[in-house]
Formats: sequence, C-alpha cells, structure tokens
Amino acid sequence: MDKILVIIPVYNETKSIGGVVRDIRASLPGADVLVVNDGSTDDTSGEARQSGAMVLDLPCNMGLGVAVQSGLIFAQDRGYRFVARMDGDGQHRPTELRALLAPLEKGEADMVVGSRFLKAVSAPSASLRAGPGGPIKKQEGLTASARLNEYRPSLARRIGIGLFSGLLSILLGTRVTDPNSGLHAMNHKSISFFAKEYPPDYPEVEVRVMAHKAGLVVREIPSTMLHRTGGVSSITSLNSVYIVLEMLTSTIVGMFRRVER
Amino acid sequence: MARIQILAVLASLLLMFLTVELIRRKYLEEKYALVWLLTCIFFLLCSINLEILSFLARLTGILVPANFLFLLAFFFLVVICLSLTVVVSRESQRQRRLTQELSMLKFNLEEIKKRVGLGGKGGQKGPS
Repeated sequence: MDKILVIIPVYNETKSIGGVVRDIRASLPGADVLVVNDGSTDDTSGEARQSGAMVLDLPCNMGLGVAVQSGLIFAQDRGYRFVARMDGDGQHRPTELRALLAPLEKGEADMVVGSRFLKAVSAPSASLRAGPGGPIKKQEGLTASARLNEYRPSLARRIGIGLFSGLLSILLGTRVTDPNSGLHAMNHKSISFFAKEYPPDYPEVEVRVMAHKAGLVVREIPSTMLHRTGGVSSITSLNSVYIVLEMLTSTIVGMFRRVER
Repeated sequence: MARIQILAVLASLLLMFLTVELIRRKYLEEKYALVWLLTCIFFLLCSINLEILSFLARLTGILVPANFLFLLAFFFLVVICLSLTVVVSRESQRQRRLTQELSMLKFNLEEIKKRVGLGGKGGQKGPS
C-alpha cells in the first residue's frame, strides 16, 4: 500500500481528538495519522498519543497554517506519497478520506478538496462541472445520526464563503465552490510545493490561489461536514471582519506574487 | 542663545547619549542604530543653527519652518514604523521555521529513545 499520512492540526481539542484519530484508523487502516499539536494548553497531545497517532508538538501556538506546514514537512522528510488534511474537531468524516484520495491515486489531480457545497451527482468523485443552484442532494451512505448532525454554516459565513468562491472562480478561471474547506488531499508534487511555503493564518483561500499559480491540478469533490463534537471555532464574530479583509488582501496580492515552482 | 535653543540642543544631546548608551549595552543593534544616530545629528545641527530649518522650509515652499519640521518628523516616523513591521514579519517567519524544526527534532528524538529502549512518552508510534 502507498504510504499515506493523515495530518490533523489541533489546538485544544482534548474532547474530540481521540475519537477522530480512532475513526481515521478504522476507516483507513493502512494510513499513518499525524496530529500536529499547535501549542495546546490542555492534554490534546497525550490524548492523541493514547489513541495511537504520531504527535508533533509545536512549543507555542503558531497558527493553523504553520501546523499544517509542519505536517507537510514531516511527510516530505519521511517520503509519504499522499497526504490528507482533516480537522481535529470531528467536523470532517473519515469515511470520506478514500474518495478524497482516489483522484490522486488515479493520477487525475495533484490536490483534492472536499467541498460542502458540491452536489453528489452520481459517483463520489463528481467533478467541478456540477451545475449551480438547486437543492443540495444528501450524499448516499450518510447514516441517520450523521444526517441529523450535518453542519449548516450560518448566514454570515455563507455570505463570506460565497464572496470568496465568486472571487476565486473569477480569478482562477475555474469553478471554486468551497474555498474555505479544510479537507484537503495532496500528492507528492503538491506536498513538496506547500512544504516550502504555506500561508500561516487562515490558509485555505490562499492555498487555492497558490496551487493555481503553481500549476497544480486541483479538483473538488462533494463532502459533508458535521457539527463539531467539542472545542470552539477559532473564528469569532469579533475578529471575522478582520479575517475576511486579511483573506481578501492575501487573495488579491497572491495573484500578483511570483511563485517558485 | 535663546532659551528654547539651549533646550533644543540639550534635548538632542540627551537623545544622542541615550542612543549611544543603548548601542553600548547591546540593547540596540548597530544596523538599526545608524538611522537614529543620523537623526540625532540632524536635530543637533538644526538646534545649533536655526537657519538650516528656515532654509529647508523655503526650499520646499513651506511658510512656517516648524511645519516643515512636523512634516519631516511625520514622514520619518511612518517610514520607521513600516521598516519595523518588515523586521517583525521577517522575525516571525524565522520563528515559524525554528518551531517546525524543533518539533521535528523532538519527534525524532522520542523515536530514537524508544528504539534504544530509553522509554519516552507513551503511545508514540513510529511510521509503518
């Protein structure tokens, strides 16, 4: 089996991290799980070790992007062929990892993003061409409890996400349905590119811009997101305006930046 | 010499003394100190010879020499602030890299410790 590493960046997720790691190990037995502990003040690190993950401890809280990049450097050092990135709060479903990795294994993409807003048309690897509008069809195989827990972003978030998906779709020339998704998978080409440079704060949008500039083939596949099982989101209403402006700046400036391939 | 002029000269000298003292105690690196020393010298010259400011103000078409000084000071401070944020950004980039390297080293160390039987934190699993 190809060497696969699942990277989970976490900050204070003691309650959920154990379950997340165990779920991943159950649904993807061949993969290694790396929890990148971004300077948690609670026992997230010990909890993750207990559940059988490898743990990379950052000595202080450096930001999500730095944690993810640490995982990518780790993957590159140890020669992992594919990498998947998931959240540690239980919002992403480990059962979707296989579908996420499939386009990489077939050599159809360099990077795969799980989109919450893409309809499952027929196969789980439905491409970017899924038409806009219409009710979001529930994915097949979603258990009743998972369906109950399905995450629906608030209006403010949907506006923010809509803004960036519109902007990115125009700038990148392809349809981007979920620019803020943190469910990513990368092949070796993407790993070595992003191990060198990865945006430190709120990286998702800028990652899409960088991938585009580097000529990486990015594909979105439908995914569902659940409610978090513990902990709190890093984005509060107070700092959200600043974050949106920051992401906007990095997106637009990013389009003019020179990218080393 | 007018009273205000004496005050200005003293203030400039004080600032210069402070800068030199900071460099001497290594609180301020030479590469950042140079710009402050030059500022001190400029202040000192301006307070010894009041004509310098009036001349510069006339040159730029500003009526009141004091306004020229304010403009200059404002511009100077903005540039300093900008360069400081550049320095901070560069330092945080370095800090990030160091943090990542450190975590990697710690991981490898734990792994080696486990392999040679020195123990280590429980549950650490090596790559398959």
